[in-house]
Amino acid sequence: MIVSIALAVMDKDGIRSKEGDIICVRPAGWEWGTEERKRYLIVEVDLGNSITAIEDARKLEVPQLETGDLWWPDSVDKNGNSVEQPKIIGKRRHNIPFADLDSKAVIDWKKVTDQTVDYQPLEKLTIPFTNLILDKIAAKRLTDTDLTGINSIGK
Amino acid sequence: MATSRRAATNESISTYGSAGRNYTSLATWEDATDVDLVTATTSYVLECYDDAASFNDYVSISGGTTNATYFRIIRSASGQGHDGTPNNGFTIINTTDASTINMAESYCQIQDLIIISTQNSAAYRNTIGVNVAGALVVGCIIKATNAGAGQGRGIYVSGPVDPIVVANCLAFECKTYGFNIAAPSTRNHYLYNCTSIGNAYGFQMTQGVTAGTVTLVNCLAQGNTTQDFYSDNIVTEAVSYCASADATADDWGGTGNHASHTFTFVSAAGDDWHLDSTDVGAIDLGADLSADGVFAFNDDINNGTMGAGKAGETRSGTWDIGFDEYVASGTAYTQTCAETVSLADSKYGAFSALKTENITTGEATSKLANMLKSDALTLGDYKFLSSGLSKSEALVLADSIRKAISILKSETLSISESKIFSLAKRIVDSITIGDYVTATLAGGALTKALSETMTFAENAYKAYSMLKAETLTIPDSLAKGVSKQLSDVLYLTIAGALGTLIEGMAIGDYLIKSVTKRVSDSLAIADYVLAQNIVFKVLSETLTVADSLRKLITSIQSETLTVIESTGKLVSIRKSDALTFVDSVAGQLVSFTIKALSENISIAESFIKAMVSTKAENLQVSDYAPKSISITKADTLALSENIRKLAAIGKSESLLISDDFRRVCTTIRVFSEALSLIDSLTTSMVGPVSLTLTLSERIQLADAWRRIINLGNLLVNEFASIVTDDVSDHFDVDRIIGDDISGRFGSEL
Repeated sequence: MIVSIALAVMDKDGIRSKEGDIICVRPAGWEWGTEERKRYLIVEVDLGNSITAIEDARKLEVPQLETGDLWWPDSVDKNGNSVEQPKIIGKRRHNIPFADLDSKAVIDWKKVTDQTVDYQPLEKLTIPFTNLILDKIAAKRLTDTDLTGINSIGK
Repeated sequence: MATSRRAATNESISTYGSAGRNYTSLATWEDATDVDLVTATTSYVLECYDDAASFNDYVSISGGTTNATYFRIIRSASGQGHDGTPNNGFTIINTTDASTINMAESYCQIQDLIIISTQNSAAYRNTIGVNVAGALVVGCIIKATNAGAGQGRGIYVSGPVDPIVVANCLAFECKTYGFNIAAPSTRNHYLYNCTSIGNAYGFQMTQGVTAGTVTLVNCLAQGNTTQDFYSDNIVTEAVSYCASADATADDWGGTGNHASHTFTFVSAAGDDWHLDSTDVGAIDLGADLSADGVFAFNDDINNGTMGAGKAGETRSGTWDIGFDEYVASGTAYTQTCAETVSLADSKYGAFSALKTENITTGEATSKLANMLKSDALTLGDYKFLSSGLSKSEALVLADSIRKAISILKSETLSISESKIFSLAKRIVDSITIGDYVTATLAGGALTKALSETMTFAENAYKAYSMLKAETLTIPDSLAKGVSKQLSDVLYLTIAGALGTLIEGMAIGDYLIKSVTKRVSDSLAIADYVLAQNIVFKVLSETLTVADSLRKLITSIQSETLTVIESTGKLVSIRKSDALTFVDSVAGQLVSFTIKALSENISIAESFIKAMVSTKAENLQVSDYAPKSISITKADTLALSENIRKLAAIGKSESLLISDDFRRVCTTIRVFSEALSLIDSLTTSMVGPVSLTLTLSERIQLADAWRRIINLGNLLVNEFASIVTDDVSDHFDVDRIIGDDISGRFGSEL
């Protein structure tokens, strides 16, 4: 499926979001808000056939969890006891490196990072996910197999 | 007194909703405001607008640096929140397999949102999950479904920090827990004035908890399928002033709890769990928390439509249990009475306006009918006078007019009926209002309101009757007008059609005669035109041919002149080149000839001198010999013979040189003649008189050129041969003896 993704445009301090982090995933053609268009770089990405529902595509928004979980784990353990959610060590696990977007269009990166300007040079393009989405914990690009795994979590 | 909706300091407010708002996603706002709020001395607030039936979204709030002064809030915008029920106001329905709102940042708040989790998951998900100190959930309405094997939980409080407060909230129809409060370690969490309806568990306390205190005050539970209040007793529960429909509210000690109570709500079937005035299970049975040490407040779930931190209805007297505080009727009565009178006035005003509109509509319709009638008559007159309408066309026209009149009549009646129905509904509404006032109010005000309402209803009925009569009169009047109009139109159209028919026949006869004559005339004209056309055609073709020929001649003339001019230019160039060449060759030839002549003369002179000298010597020898030396005659003869031989040789070579000169002279002469011929030809050719060049002239011209070239080549070869020979080689002075040689050589020159 094709999705519209809001990417962080700059590095924040500490464990906060970093440039290229996938902050939010929405269906293709999503009409983003006025501040969202100024503060985030919007890209449309074709996730292929492994993920077909937006609820599953939104799992790409998962933070970097200390436990390495691909998605928010259950809030009870196998004995039915409540467990705390794992510690977040990074705002987002998945990232699209900006260097990889340079070849997709002519991009004025200075304007991209200017959060007072609505500048979206990539929103009209649809980019295949292959070799695009970086899993920061696994230090690899997501494949069809990875997306299939993400899709099946919790089912 | 404090409202439970806590405001932050220095709020920076953004909007959430459909496109056009600042944010369409909770996640982006959360990330954008994930900063050090304390250093920025700013609190970030997201106000949600009810732009759509619901928003499918979720968020985990975490990472911001906050304190009790600067923190983040998500709340409904002013006038955009709920009304104390899940039926109206801004609503989030999350279908993603995650907690809809995960509050993982200290002091963050959620206010006055309707949040529904609709999932299909094997996991245990929370609609709101809270696990941080100072977090506050207030005025929220929660529901959780899960079609999968996992749980669907309402509000889940589990932080290893404290305090966490949930107040004035409603959880209903959650798959598992309405409220699940688990306090690990030694931390304390608080649920104040919450209502839990129709879940598996109303309030689930202490699950998996090893220490800490769970405090529930003024909480109400009903219809939870397993238990209204449940605990595994691992930690201390402080349950007080709570009430349950089942027997569990008082199972945990504490004071003021009420088990097995019956509660009366405004409309349970309609998901309106506000306490009804007749309730005795919760009203005035709670504790006053306006001075609570942990979280003091004095309002309830709502006061009308919520939003922007607006306070709920003020709790007073002995507080009620649950999320709603039932407000006594006095204030409401006054307000309702005033509203009823105002509504009656408004209705009456509307009724008057409606009456006016109906009358206006009737008048307009009547005018339209008259206008149509007038138009139809005018049309009939016109058709009659112009006689341009057949009988059948007249009938069609009459039918059309009849249909149009029928439609107009039908529409007029329909409009009248619609207005009557509308009016009837308004009267019924007015009577309903009267009934409502009767049922709701009491005392003198009721009598007054009832009287006013009845007066209004009576007035409305009178006005209605009057309007009905007027409205019905209009169609009757219109129908009469229409019948007469139809009759007029038919009469006029039939009369007009008969007149047209008679006149049409006369016109037909005239036309036949006219056509016969026209045919005859046309044939004559056709013949004439045909003849004319042939002449014109021939003339035209001739002119065309002449034009073509003229153009061709002009073109040929132009081309011929161009060729002649080109040829003339070419000849001039060639002539110029030839003359230049001849001048050059002739110049050199003359120069050489003069030089050779000079040298020959010089040679001849040398010969002469030598021969003179030789003669003198011979004479001297002859003279001397008889005297001093005995020279024989034979010797003398031999000497003479030698001299004679030498002279013969000199003669031969001199003749050879003379031949060369002769050939050169011949060449120059021929060359000169050729040039003269070219001059003659060129002059005749480029001159304005003779534009043509005959074949013989062209051959002559070619021959002349050929001869010039051949002669030029010959001249060059000859000239080169002469130049390369050394003249002195031909004349060896030592071999020249004798005067006769000198004379002979001279004659040759």
